Amino acid sequence: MPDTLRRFRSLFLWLAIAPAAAAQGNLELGKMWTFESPPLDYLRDEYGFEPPAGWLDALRMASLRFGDGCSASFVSPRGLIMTNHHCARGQIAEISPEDQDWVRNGFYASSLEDEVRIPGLTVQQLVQMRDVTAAMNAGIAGGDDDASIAAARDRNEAGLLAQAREQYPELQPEVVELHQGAVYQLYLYRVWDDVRLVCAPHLQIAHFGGDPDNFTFPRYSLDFSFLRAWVDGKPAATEAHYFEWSKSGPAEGDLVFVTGNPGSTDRLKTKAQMNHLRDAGYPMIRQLIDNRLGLMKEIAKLGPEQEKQFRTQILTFENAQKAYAGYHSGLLNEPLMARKIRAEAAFKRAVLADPDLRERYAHLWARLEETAAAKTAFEPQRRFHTPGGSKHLARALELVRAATATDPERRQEYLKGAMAVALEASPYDRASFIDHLARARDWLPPSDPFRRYVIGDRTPEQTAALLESSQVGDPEFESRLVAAGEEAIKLSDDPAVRMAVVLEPLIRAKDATSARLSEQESTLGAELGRAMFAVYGARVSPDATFTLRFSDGVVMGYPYNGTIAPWRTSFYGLFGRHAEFEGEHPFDLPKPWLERQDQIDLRKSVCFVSSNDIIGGNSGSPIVSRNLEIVGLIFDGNIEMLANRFVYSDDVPRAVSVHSEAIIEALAKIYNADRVLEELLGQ
Amino acid sequence: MAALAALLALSAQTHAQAAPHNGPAAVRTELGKMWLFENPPLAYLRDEYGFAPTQEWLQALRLASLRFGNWCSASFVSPRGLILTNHHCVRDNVADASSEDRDLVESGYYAHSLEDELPLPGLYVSQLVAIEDVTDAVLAGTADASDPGRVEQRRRANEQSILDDAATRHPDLAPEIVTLHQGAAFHLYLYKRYEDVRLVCAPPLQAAHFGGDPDNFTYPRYCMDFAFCRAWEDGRPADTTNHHFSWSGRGAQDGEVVFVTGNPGSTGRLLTHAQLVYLRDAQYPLELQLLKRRLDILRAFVQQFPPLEPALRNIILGDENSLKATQGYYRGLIEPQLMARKRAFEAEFRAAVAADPKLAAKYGDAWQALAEISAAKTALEAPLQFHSPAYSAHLTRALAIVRAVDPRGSETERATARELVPAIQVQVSPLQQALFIDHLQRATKWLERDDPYLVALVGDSSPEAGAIRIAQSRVGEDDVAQELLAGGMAAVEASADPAIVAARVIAPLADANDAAARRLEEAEAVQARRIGRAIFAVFGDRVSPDATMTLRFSDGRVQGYAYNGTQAPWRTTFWGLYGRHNDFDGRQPFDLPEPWLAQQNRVDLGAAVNFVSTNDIIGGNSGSPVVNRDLQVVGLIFDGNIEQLPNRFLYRDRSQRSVSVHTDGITETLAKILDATPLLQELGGVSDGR
Repeated sequence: MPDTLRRFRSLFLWLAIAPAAAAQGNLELGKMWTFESPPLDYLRDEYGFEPPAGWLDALRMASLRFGDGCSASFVSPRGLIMTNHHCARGQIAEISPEDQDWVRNGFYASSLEDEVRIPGLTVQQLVQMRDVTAAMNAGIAGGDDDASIAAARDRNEAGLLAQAREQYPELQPEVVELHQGAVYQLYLYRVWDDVRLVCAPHLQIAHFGGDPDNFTFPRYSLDFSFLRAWVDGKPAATEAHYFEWSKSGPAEGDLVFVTGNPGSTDRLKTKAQMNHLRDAGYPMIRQLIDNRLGLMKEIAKLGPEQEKQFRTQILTFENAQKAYAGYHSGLLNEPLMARKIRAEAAFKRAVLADPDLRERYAHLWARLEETAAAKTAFEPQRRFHTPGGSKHLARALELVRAATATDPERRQEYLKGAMAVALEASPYDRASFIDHLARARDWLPPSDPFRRYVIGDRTPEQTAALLESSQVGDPEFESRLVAAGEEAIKLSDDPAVRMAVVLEPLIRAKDATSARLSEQESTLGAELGRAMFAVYGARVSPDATFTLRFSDGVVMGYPYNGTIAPWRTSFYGLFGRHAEFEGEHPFDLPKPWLERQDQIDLRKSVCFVSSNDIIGGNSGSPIVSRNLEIVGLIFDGNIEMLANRFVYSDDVPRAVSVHSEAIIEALAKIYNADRVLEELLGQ
Repeated sequence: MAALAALLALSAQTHAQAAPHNGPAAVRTELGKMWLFENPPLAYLRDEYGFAPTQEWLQALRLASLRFGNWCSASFVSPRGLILTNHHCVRDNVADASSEDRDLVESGYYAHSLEDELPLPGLYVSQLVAIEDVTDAVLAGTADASDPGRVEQRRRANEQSILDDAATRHPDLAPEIVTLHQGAAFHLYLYKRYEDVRLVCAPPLQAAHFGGDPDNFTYPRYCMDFAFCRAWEDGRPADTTNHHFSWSGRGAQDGEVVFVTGNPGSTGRLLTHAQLVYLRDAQYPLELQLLKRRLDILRAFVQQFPPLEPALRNIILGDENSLKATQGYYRGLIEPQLMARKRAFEAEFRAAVAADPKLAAKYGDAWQALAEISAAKTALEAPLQFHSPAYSAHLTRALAIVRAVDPRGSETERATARELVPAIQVQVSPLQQALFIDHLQRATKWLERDDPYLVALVGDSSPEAGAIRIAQSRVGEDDVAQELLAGGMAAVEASADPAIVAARVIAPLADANDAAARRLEEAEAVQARRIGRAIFAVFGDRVSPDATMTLRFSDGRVQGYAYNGTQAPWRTTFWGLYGRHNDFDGRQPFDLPEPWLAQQNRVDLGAAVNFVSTNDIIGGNSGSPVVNRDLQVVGLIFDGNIEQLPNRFLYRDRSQRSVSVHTDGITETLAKILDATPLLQELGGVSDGR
């Protein structure tokens, strides 16, 4: 009996503790840690992991920022760089000789001499960080207005950069704003500007599954490529800073680290700001995307020529549709938003509990809520007080501006602008304008001037037809109009001119309000960042800034589709998905992959998932074990991860990587890339 | 401008194409596509597929189809009585036929010769051979609805005499009266029964049930969920030369029109919007919360006390499966699109009733009545669920004691309760106690603050304290219980034992709830019948009746769908089977039987394993054949995807799919893994002979 009772109590204890443990920490803000503020306590508590001396420096120095928007790493002592195929795709296309499509057919330099330089491509290695918060805030006093604060910061930043360039002429400086301006860091980069292509697989294996499979898992893409940094005509000596290749690859449950340059997240936004996106921003943009896609698909159905014309744009829109649906679903996800609300309440309580913080920051939530409400109310005007793609209206607008301009130089500019608007409209242009009017009617109130005067009682089709009956485009009409001046133009009975007269002041007012609201929001946001930093300090990770971060995570599957997704996929699945879609594009495979299928070990892993915190910009990021060995290569997230833009969670969201084993299998069995293999495996 | 006109014309055309399905004369697929053989939707099949089946075709389809036991479907697939069904349909019978040293479920079974075929005692299959409309006879003398009790009695008497008459006319057939459209029509079905059914071939459980409970209700899927039995007559294989499906050489193809026959168990598509709202707002939320919390507690318990895992495993698996299914139904009901379509259909239906004065007078107020009943059921739901002893053994025993002495009950009720008392074991189990605390916690959330149950059980303290107080009761001690029973109502009323005090409160509450629930159920059945008659009056044969566990056929197409942010292919292959096995490192339930691993090199990895189609199915359709227009078997239904669960309430085919075993998968398995050549010949020989 006493024993039972003790067990009974311990069950209670377990039940009581479980929710508390989950709420521990501030992981809602993510795990994109900066190297200058590594969360050492957290790593110890969470994993019992204490990075040994030199570990963080080694992790940082082997990591790279790649080109304009990606990440990469050194993976050999001789400057070999690994990144995603999709990170280097544009560059490969540029250097590919016309008769050999290296994107489509792949590329392999069988000797050093065959490596092809990519003009203009650089990779950057973060070699030094310094806190410059004080210097950035120098000369700024409490009561300064928004504009003078911004000017002072610009001055301070220019000074810091000039000083850094003088001090380190060989390095590239950058001032990074963290926590929305609570902290400033000066980052100094070593820039590698001679980068050559070593090896790239076929597009159709790198991008297997195409747009449908994009943002999803289970996945079967070998999205990798290898390049090399050269210095003075020789492979760069990187023996002091590169990642070795893991012999075993990742195992389920392993702690793994990702380094890279996440682009942007919105996790410090308040719930009110998120509500604005949820209720106004995203619904309107999603409606636009849905309707445009519908139009494009209908036109594409008319014939092969139309299909070809819209193919790329349809793919782009489908991708955007998927991404926005993912972001929006995060904001509509009640449990996720409940976490946001709890975290925000805790943060606010901490601010209110400290008299000093309370004095400085307590008002911010209410102010941000007002701003968000104002933005929500204003969103229909921002989106719809525009010519909406009507060529006649756009041209008439420029003419109205010209006619009312007092400065002759401005008048000439407007006229030039008017002449630049070609009036020929494709069926798609016309249909988009009709759609613009239809959506405007849904969102704008009946009293809105755009609704009353541009839309009126007509159907959108009638309005479009009416505008096309305008005389704009007739040189004689246009010169008479511009010469007639402001008063006369108001009396014009040309439909486009009449509508432009109404629309022109609406557009001006809209632009002014837009600018005011976004300035307001960014000033308040910076304050909120300071409050966050004051309360939590370096214990929270700052929103992404496209600068180097590292993120911890665990290799693991997740609940999916009513069942469970495995932690990895294998070559069985790759050939399976190919077979199950009859090899139809985008599930087709390059010829060598089909011809040499029997040489491939089907059991070997292709991709795997982990709970690391990543977002666009992390493409090409290495994923390494605690021994700093490469176990994979980040290239995407699953569909559920899109919601992580606002609140980090790891119950279902996962980062998707190419498994190190898949790269070796491809290099060995398909590409016969012995030289790269030896280099990677250190043989 | 011309192009724009073309564009607009195009969209107008799209609407025009959609129109036939919405027009008054067209079939309404919101109510599903589980067609009756006696009312085949011929015009619809012609419009939809350009397919005009003959009476001979329909008869051949019907006679080759079977009800398997009372729970599944099946079909004849050879002239010698060979039956195809799901492994999971025959699993219990195979278990019964196993011996202790020979687990045929686990190992699988293949009879190399006729003599080796294994009798499955108690199992029978039924073939629907004749159908008669007996609506008038069933409803004779029931026009006066003033006394529902008498109407019901009369109807039952009518049914019995119809059945008796059928038995006299057809002594060799089994008669059954089928209630269609919630009682708007009654049909007499006559079955030929095959009562000697033997096992021919069953693959090992782990191939049939690959992916186990996690993969259940999902797709992409990789299950060899098939089994072959044989009907025997007079010690010989049954002669089914005239009614069997032949085996398709190529199996299901992408985009192909296919038909499923079988015995769907039950659907709720005639439920009104108000009835769905009750499910959405009362029944399901409570049920889901119960399941989720119970699972949390059970899992925590297993983690805390690993040795208990085997004992709790089946409860956990069962709860997980219920949770998955209920969550699937619930998701459909909270999905705005589904409810919008339901509302739109109902508005149209009601408008049609309102437009006809005769119908309006007969049925016009049925929706309002159901709305009131549903509101009352919603209000009653929490009391009904929570006014109970739940997991507390103390309370259960105390309640039995109270009932045993309660003068308000009948003598029989008291006697039954008295007998029950010593049978109720009262032990302090931490698990029961945790579940009881959870019951009280949930009760606190759902019941009104001043609810007498809450006042009695929790009062001003907490659910934890309340549960601990009840656990201090001494009703578990037999002498205490005997003393109370002996002392009668007076002793019970005088008792200060915490469980007895609480039970005195619970007994009248539970009685009142039960009575109210019974009244509401009866009233609901009456109104439901009126809705059924109205639907029949308005739409006639153009809607398919709710499922009744009797033979239907359903049309559909083989088709993939959008899933998981990308596309699900129309079929899966052995590539995927071995892949899923490999990607989970062969761990249970993704392990494979030894022959599957040993013979992998022989298997054509590109052969199809499972596929999906838009046919309308539900539990009971397990084992249904999927046939093409030429009545060749191309697949075998065994499940639906997770998106299909809400089809219980409204049929849709956007991403809702039926999941079948592909005949190629079966053939490949028989040939390469099970070496079942004679069976293969019996199937294939037929096809070749055509």
